[in-house]
Amino acid sequence: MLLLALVLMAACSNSEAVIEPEGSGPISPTNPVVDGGVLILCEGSFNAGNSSLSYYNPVDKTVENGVFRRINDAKLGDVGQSICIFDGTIYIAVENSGVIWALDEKTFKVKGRLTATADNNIINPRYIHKVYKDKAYVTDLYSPYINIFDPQTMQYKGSIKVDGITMNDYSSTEEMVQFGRYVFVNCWSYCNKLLVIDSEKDELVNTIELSSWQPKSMAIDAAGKLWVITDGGYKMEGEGFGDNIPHLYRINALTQRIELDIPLCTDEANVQLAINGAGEVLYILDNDVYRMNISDETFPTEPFIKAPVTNGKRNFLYGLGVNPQNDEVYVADAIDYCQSGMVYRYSASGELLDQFRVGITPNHFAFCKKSEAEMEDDVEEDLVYSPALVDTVFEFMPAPGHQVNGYSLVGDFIFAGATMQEACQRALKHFRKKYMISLGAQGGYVVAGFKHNVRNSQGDYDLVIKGNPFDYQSEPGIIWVMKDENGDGLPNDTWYELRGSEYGTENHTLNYAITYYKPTGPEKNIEWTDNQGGGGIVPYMKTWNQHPSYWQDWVPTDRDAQGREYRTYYGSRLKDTHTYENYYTMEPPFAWGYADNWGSDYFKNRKFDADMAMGYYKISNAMTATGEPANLDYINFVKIQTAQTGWSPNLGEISTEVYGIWDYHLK
Amino acid sequence: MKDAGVQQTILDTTVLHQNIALSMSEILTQHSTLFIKSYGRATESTAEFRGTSPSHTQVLWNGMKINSPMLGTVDFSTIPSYFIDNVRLLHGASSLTVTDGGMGGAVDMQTLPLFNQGYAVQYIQGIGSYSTYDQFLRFTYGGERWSTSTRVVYSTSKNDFKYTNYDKIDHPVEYNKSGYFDDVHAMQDVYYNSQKAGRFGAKLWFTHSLRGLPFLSVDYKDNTDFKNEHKQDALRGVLSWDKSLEKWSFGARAGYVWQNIAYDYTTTREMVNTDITHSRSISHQGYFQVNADWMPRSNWLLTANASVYYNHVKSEDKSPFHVGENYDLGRAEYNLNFSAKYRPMKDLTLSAVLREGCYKNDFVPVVPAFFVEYQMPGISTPSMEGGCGRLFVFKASVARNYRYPTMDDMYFKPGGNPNLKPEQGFTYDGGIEGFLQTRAFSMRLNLSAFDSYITDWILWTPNAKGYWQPSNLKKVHNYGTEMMVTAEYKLRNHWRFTLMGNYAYTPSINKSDQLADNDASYGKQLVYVPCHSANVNGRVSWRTWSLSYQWTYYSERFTTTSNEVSYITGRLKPYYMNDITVEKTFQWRKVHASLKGVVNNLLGSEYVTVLSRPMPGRNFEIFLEIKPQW
Repeated sequence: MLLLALVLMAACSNSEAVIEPEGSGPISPTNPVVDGGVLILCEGSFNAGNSSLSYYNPVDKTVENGVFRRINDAKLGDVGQSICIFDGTIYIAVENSGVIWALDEKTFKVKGRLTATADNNIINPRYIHKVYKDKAYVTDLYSPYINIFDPQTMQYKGSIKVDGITMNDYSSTEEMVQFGRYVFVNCWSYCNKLLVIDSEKDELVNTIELSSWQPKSMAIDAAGKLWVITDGGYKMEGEGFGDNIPHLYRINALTQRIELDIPLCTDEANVQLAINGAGEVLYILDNDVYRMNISDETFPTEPFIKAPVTNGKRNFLYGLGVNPQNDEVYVADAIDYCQSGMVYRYSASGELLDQFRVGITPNHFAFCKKSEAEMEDDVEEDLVYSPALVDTVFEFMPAPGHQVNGYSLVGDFIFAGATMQEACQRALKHFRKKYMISLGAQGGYVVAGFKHNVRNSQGDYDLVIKGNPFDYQSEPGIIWVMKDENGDGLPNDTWYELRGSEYGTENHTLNYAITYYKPTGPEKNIEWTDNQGGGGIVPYMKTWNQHPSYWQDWVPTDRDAQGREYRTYYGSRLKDTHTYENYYTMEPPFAWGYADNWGSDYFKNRKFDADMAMGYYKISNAMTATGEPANLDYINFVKIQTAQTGWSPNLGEISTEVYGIWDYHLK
Repeated sequence: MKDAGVQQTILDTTVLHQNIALSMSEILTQHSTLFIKSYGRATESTAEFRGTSPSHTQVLWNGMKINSPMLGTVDFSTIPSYFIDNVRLLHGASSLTVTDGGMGGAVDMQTLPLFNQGYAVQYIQGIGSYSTYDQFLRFTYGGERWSTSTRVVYSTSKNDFKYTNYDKIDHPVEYNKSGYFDDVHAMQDVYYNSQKAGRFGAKLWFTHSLRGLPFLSVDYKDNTDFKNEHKQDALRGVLSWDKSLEKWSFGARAGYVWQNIAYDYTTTREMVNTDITHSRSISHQGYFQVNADWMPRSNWLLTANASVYYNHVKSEDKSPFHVGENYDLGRAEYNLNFSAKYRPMKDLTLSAVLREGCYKNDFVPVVPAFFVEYQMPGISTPSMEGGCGRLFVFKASVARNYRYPTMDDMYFKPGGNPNLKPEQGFTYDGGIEGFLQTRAFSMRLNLSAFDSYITDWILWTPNAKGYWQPSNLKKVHNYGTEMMVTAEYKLRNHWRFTLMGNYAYTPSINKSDQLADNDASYGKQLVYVPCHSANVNGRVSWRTWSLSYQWTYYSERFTTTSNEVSYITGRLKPYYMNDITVEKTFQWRKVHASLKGVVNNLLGSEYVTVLSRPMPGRNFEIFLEIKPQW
């Protein structure tokens, strides 16, 4: 009898033969960064310890599951809550395991970890946000603190008390986004508040109360607006809080005031926000996936991606991610929360590109990408050679500023250590990708040239220059042009200033010279004086850029009588018109005629580029040094210089940004 | 005749009272075809019959249902096996002879009187690995009319076993964190036998249990900083009266259960106390039942019984998803049961059972069940004592069954769904039972096959807000076979061999409509239900020595509804367990004693029965038992 039982058992348990654990050894391919790989964090089932990490290669459409386990021979943990990548490291907060992992972005090997111990205030870590290279915040579902750690060493650094912020003794803190020095935190559990943390002081400085409950997800857009979605809390007989209705908010990140509050018509929705790479298009998971422009004032009526319906029931979409590099949309479907979840990949236009199985309950995405420096070393084919674009950058001479040696939010000091020649080549590459360069404070400039003649159309636009202005944040640059009169192909002839709306008014100073003094130590403000008897500083602002010096490496210096190293920039100046009040900086635009300025000549032009706003300028506005029209028949060189001297405590110095210079006639 | 057609397994005191450290959870694992899902040593253990869920196993104690009115389950790790004197496992439809709602079956536990056995005292001291101490004391008196028994068991352990943690980097050796337990149970029963008025019984059982909830193997928190604890106080009492006449017998029972359960997971950070979970529930259950049996002729037996349960539950909790009262409600449950058993010819018995249940004001459809039993003619019936013979009995049954949603299913805030329908089951089974007995050898064999469907299976799934909600989601097809064999061989020179084995093949297949077109769970085995389970217990005794060997097996279990095999966490490896016990008894004039040594997990297997819940390696316990004689 027993024998029979044993035989039966053997007959049925043939499954040993098909055991193929997630595989072992390195995943293929070995460099996710090159392929722009997508990491999918799968939450797993609560208390089962089966959270996992999946890796998707969008190039050859392959997926590798259980990556953490396979590489590190250990489980990821219980309830993987969030994943993010910065500075070549993947950070994963595994909530119920009380651990934050740091993995190498290229190998997925564990580099370090931070765990909940008696010596710190971590309990159940939820989301991670980088403030500086050596400082990150981590929120927590239970802890009355937001914790601070060094993401490079995974050492605990301290905490910010947020106790008593939310109802019922919970202090649940969730996602974080940063604007300037301020980090916004949404409090989800039993709460209707956002917290504002001053990331320089590590202090709670403000709370923003919402009209609905349980803010769940946030995004910050290119216009400096904070978008927040709530799940509405829940309503039930006899008790409850909230009304079950999700709301979408737009908050001015500068004023920290709510500008728009849209109640959504859904009930019982899983909500999530994501934003595209340019920060201009918002994706909203609200049962289905909706898409809206950041300028829209109403919620779209039709979904962008409809959740499939089976047997009369809608699939329950659980996670949403948008790849900032190509705006592809990834949607996670947890199905029944107890089987391998499904991920759907859509193109930026909403076309289904691929679908694949991952681990249990996929909830969060992260996108591998090259660092700025790696992108600079990219193969040439990534670059766009437009005949309309300038052919050469002759001189890139930024004045001091917080974006000089690189920009902290991008992560790499891309221009650090470069020579002038290298810097010019890099600047040209930036133009070819419509990436920006910053000219630094007043006087900083770039000189670029065309190999062909850009003709003066005598009244129509001739030049196109892209910046990143807004109506409340314009950083105007004065445009100069030059004709290659001696025909040597070099910008060694006469510069003519393009007249703008302020030309010749009291807002405009001709023959302006400003002198900056190179700082003698690290992390110092940079002092300046000018030929009008004025003076001031370019502030050192670690929040924006942690490079120890805001003096660009290749900028040559002279020495004055006291032995101080300095550099003088010559040009014209526009009056500083910015205001700063209640943490709100206003940098109003001038009417027209300046680069990186939200004037009447900055718009989406059907003839040149209908999709992207740019500035359009006329050679016929070129003026001689004595204020007469120059009447140039064509030009070959363009110089753009930052026009204003001001700075504000939250945004730093006014500095013109340039993304490219084109000939309007050669589309 | 009363059990005609019934598929049952009986566990008696020789099985139940093996050693005092065992709970019903281990007994059922080792001696039945039930699958016990255990979260660890002295942590929650639930029983699954024939591939169903734990709430499909109805559990009775002296006739009263003791399933939690909130969850519908019973934690068998909190029932000391020494407190139970007899267990009937009623498989499938057979459970309808005692209760409704046992879609998988029922566990019917009894305490028994000891009439005419005089005074006895028994003390057992157990000392084991991981600072485990088990104490058991029992006084009994059995006269002609009176029988009383007082039992107390006190078990404590640090339970800080060492294990290699394969779930962490570099596989460190770690201790089981927060696994301690401190359990006290006391039970008093009194019986009075009056020839005129019948037999009266009173049983009272008190439990105080304090248990740390062990950390997951993937938990990196510093345990000194957290308290994660489960406290349970329970009082259960049953009064009974039974009277038998020539053609009639009557019975009445009244019972009460009080339970107070607290679950705390807290930590303190810089003077700020944080509750991760803070949950309280107090339940009261009242019970009353009357029954009558009538045997108008020798080939007819008619029975009727009516029962009423009243459950009141007050449940509160505090978590990021909900703070406050979950519910504070009472619910009455009524049940009427009629059965008729008829023996049209000597070897054939037919039986029909009809049940009607009502929960609050909601009537569940009538539950019918039919049983047939046929005894192969012409084979002599073995007598109990020493005779020889063979016997084969065929049994078959068919039944419909319903399980009404639990109070949590319907009322829990947030999530409870008052519109849930009862789960419906349809089951049929058939089998053969054989007995063989010679002078030295006896064997009993049971082989059965079953097929059942459960629809409107209640399943809790997470919703958009992060909390869970139940709905009538699943359809499940359970089928398979169960086998049981016991054999005993006695030799003249005091050698005695016994063997007991169980095997079950229980595919339990999800046949629900797909949740979505990408739902891969259709046609797959339910999570944590093994397809095969088996156990063998062999015992050799010679004079005052005995050696027993226990082998237990479960086939792999899937952890995902899609039966994922490509994940390392997708399934649990087949479970093989070996335990060995050596015992020597001493019989002196003034005292009888025994010394018992147990090695659990003899081969030192490293295993889990639930993901991320490590289990202890090889461990030991020694028991000294003393029974004074006078």
